[in-house]
Amino acid sequence: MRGPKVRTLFAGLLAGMALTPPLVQAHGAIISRTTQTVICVQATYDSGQPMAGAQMAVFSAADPTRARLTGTADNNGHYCVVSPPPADGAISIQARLAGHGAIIHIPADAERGFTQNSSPRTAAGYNTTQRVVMAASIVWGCIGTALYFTGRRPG
Amino acid sequence: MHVPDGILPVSVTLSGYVVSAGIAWLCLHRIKQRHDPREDIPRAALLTAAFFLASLIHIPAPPASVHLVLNGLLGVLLGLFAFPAILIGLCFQAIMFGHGGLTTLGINGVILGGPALLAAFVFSLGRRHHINGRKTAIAGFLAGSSAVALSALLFALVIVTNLATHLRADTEQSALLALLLAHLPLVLLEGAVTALVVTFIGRTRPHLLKG
Repeated sequence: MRGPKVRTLFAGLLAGMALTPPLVQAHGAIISRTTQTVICVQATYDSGQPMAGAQMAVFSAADPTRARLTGTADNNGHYCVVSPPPADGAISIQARLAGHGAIIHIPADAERGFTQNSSPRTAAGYNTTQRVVMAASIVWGCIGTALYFTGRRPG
Repeated sequence: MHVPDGILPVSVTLSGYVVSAGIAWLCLHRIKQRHDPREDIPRAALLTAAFFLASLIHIPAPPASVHLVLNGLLGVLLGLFAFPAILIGLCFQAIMFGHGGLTTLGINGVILGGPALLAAFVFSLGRRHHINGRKTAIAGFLAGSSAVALSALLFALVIVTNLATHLRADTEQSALLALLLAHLPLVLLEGAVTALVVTFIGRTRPHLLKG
């Protein structure tokens, strides 16, 4: 009589182990590692106002005509790309909103934590003093032109 | 309202240069036929400076920021000189501040300079029989506001008809519509500024408004 009871108990244990969720079964733990490159950009107008909801597109240097990834910037104009394709090459990220836009070219060997502007010529790349001096030089050039031709006016 | 580099296809930017060069040539050709072609150069130089500085004055108007344009004022005060003056101002804006772009200089010239010439025409029509007074101010307001409004419409038209394939058209069209609505206060503001300026000049130096 003990034989069938033992067999029934053993079979019940096996069935219970088979039906137990895998999480409970595991005794060991494994951590797998995947290193990803995250590139975050912020799209703003040259006035400093963020381009909220701008359409973002990621291009590879090998094929600058076809967008590899598209997305939308958040309310602060931030957009992050995780492991942008191709991971081993240079990429360009373009922001577009209502006919305004800019594109930033990111080299493959870009430094970590490095801050880069889309173009050194943008107003965001100059401080207020530099902007005032540049604007004043243009205005002075125009005034000088006006004075020159005023002096040469006949009569 | 300046189209930046990298937004439009090459064919459109080249077409913009061709059209812009044609209009500039026509304006300069007509100016050369005047008795003294240099007469208005001092005024054109000063107003070019004003146009250049105006783009640096931003007015926050979500989803974008708008800025003073003053192309209507230039059209009213300069006439044919307005187009080359705007082209020079746009060139300086692109080189110094990256506002607009060098590849889009031609199309920006058409977008901003074309309405300036229209403003000159509107103002001359409005003042044909009225040299001074309230109707001068109304003609100035109409000229200044219509120039900015037409520039905004041209800008939206150029953008919406040349959308890249990766862009969602509905999103961009909604943003452009919001941008156009954001320009409504600017249209009124530039109309008022133009009206004030022409009224003042009409009282102090009316001969400047005859060109």
